[in-house]
Amino acid sequence: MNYASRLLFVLLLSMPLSHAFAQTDSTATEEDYGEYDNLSFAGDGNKNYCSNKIEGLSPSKLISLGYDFQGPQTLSADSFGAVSPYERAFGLAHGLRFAANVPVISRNSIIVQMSANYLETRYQEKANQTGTNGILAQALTNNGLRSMGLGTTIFKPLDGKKFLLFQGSADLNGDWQWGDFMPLKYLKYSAAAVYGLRTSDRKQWGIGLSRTYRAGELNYIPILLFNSTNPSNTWGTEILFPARAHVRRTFSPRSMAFFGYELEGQSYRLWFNPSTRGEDLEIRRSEIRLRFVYERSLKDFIWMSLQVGYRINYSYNVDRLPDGKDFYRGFFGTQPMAMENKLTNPLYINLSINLVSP
Amino acid sequence: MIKCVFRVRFKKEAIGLHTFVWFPTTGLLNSSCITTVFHFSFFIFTLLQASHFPLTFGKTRNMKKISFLLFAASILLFGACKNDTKKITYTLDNLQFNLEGPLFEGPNTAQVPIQLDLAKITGIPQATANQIKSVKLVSCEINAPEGQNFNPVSNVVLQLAADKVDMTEIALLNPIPQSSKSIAPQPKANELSTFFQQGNIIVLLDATLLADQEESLSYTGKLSFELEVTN
Amino acid sequence: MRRFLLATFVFLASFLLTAKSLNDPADRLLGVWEPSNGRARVKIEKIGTKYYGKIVWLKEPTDPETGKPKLDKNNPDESLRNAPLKGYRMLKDFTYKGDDEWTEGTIYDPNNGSTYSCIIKMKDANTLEIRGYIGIATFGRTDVWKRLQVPAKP
Repeated sequence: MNYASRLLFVLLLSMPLSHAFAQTDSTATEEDYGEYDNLSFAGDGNKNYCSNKIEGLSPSKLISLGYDFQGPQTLSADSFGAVSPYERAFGLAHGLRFAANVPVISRNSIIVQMSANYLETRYQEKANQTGTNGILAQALTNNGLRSMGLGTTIFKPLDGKKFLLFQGSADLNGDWQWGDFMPLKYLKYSAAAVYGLRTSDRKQWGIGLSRTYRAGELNYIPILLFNSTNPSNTWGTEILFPARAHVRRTFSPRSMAFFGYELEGQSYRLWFNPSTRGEDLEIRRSEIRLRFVYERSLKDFIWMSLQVGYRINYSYNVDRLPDGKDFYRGFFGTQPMAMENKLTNPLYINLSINLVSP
Repeated sequence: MIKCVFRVRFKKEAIGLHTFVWFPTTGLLNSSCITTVFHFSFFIFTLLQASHFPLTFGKTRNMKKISFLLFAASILLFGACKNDTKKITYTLDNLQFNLEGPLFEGPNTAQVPIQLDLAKITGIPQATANQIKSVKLVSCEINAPEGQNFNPVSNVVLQLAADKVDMTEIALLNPIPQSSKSIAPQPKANELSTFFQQGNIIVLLDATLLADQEESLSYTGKLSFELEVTN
Repeated sequence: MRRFLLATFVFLASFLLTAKSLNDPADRLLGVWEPSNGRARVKIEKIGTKYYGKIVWLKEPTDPETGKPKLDKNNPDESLRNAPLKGYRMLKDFTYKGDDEWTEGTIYDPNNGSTYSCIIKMKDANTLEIRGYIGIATFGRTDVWKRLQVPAKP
């Protein structure tokens, strides 16, 4: 037997051995799946981070496209300059609403979302109205009001229970038109921070502070978060006071109704008309939308949402911004308003189609 | 007399129709399809001959309309026959679902890999995957071995899995009646042709046990599929 | 010499084949995993050439409302709503794409009965990043799952 033959013999002998070793190895790693209760982590365990949601919470909307209709309403405008107080009746006020919330980072340790939103209100003056007309009614009729903004939301769980929530946004609000944007120097900045506790899978609450225009003008307001679901997942609350508060009735995870309100507002610059542009006027628009909402899945993650409610005017006053700069009046400030207006309260309907989040 | 004239005229129309459909299609279609078209046309024609149609006014226009309807119906049938499909019943018999213990409360899975021989199934030598136009599960039966029953199991779900197709539920029975020795899970109306086009499939039985048990379970299954294949 | 080369080839081929069958990188996904909320454990197994994951353990196995085992009460298939949640196949149809990624699968969320597209990425031998998403991966959410040590059979 020469060298090569001997080697071949050794190699051939070793082949079954290698399989035998493999077999032994395989048997050694055979696992006992008989017991799943007392298993330990193979490596480092998972750091426990609380979720941003609780059970039963309505799904958050990734993309929302809707249309808003408000019934006829009458503006009682204050005197302004040489113009005496006047009344102007409007027919249906309506407008498109779009919002997108795209998760940039979405992990159990942090969630960062970027958002974009657009909403408009187009006013139509009723025909054959005589008498005085002023810049406010003219701006509403000719231009309407628009708000467009970008924002971010960051949810940072600290551990299995505690979390921080930040929200920030920059919005361009006014009677600007598409193709004729207001300069970005008129952006309005809002922000909120909440420290919260997710006390169980069915309850989370938190307290915080916000810089907001929801009351029309700049305000610093404490906020309270309280989301809860009852054990049978039929009732719950979704509250971010004072921005919104709803009681939820869950028919199924794909069908739910809400009753409550949303405080909606922004400070809209009267910018489009060059003759009044220099006056630095802003409509401090704020409204309480007392409403019934029904949301259901149309197909998979496409949901429809129908709101029907009463739009209560909270503020439609006009401020003149000294040197064009915003100021803080708060609830107790004494700075005078340029116009103290009133708006009657119509019924409203809002219908939207939404892509909801996992 | 008038009626008679119209009958004759109508007959001409019908014969014309047959001729129109028959000659151009003879060379294109196999006889079974043509026969269907022919018989359908003739059936309508016979109905009309029996004077059920109101042919007593606007006669000429009616004739044209009826001829057109007949022609359209035949063309529709002709379209339906164009791919000339046949229906086949294929049964997967004696599937051995072995659930090896220890088994746990909740669903436990048994899987049976199947290699499908399309030629054997379709009766067409060298049958290809794209000749399978439709597959539906029509019946399903699972039997317990002699002396045993389905009492440890609360419900069963049958699923199909294959490499390039998503796992699909094909039948279920929930709940299983007490002391059943043989069960017939309700087939779902899913289209399963993509599985048959794969060649290799796995039939899964998810049996939900009411309690943990050490012993294995073994059941025998029979699945009948209805296939639509083109020649 | 020719026999020597042949023997070497046969030896190496046999070794490589054995090694491959034991260390198929795709099979690293097999095992029992726990999502970050620690409320369930999922066993990933192989059916055919694809990977599937079943709930094998629940932290709260009973429904506080009924006192009975939790049911898959949100399943869109009404006939399965009284089936127990434990044992539900929540991960389906994953195929190994390479680069520690299993794709083309779906994940089921028993909380709302929704099924999402899903990608599994293995960060290390004991850590998975599971991203459920709608349509495109941007509209999704990632969770970290950790491997559990399964004891060897006695």
